[in-house]
Amino acid sequence: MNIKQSIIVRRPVETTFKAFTADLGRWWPLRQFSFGGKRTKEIHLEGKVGGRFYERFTDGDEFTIGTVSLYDPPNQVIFTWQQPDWNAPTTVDVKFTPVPEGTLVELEHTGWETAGIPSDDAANYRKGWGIILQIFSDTQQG
Amino acid sequence: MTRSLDLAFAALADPTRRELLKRISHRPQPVVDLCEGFPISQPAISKHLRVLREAGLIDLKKRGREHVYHLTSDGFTDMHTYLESVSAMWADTLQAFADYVEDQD
Repeated sequence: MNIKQSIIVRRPVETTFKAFTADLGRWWPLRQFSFGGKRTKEIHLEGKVGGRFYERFTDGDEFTIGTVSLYDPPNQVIFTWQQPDWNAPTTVDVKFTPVPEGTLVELEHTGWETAGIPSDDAANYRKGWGIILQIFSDTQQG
Repeated sequence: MTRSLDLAFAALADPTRRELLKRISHRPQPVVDLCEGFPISQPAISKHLRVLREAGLIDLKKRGREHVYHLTSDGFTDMHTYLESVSAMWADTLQAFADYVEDQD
């Protein structure tokens, strides 16, 4: 199971891509979603492969959420996302496609199989996750 | 992740328990039936079943004189609820993004 969300932004694809990446700190709803909570002052996404996606706290400390693994303006950006208690990062893939109304932004958040809990055996968790989702979808249909 | 999700993952980290869960998902059955085909003792199987039960993935029901194991939705629902909450976070975040971009000139 992957998480998918999309939205249409009534602006050209170049503007939309730049706003999503370079201006991320200006629109990200920090009050609702941040790791540091009240400690978090800023959030940034560095626009290059290997760039960091991180929060900066009021005391100057930083928390790295993930790393940019693909940076292809104005079409696509992929970055990892790892919570402190996870044993492996998940992946957030954002695609920007020109449409008559402006830009279609499609976001997919994957890699839940191995996020799991701290463990030396990610493969076991991947199997576990797969079974849980399979049985869950069976019970929903049944 | 929540405590109950951790338990569910830990329970599923073992191949015997994954196999037991699959069998139970096909039909509810007593421990005697579940032991068939496993090269380990009934007490060992019972121990595995207890782990699955504590993780909220299965439960016991009395049928006549025997206890029958069946799936419960608790463990699965927790996991689904967690993913839904992440999905909702992204919906809110993308909306905040669209609002910001469309406000710019």
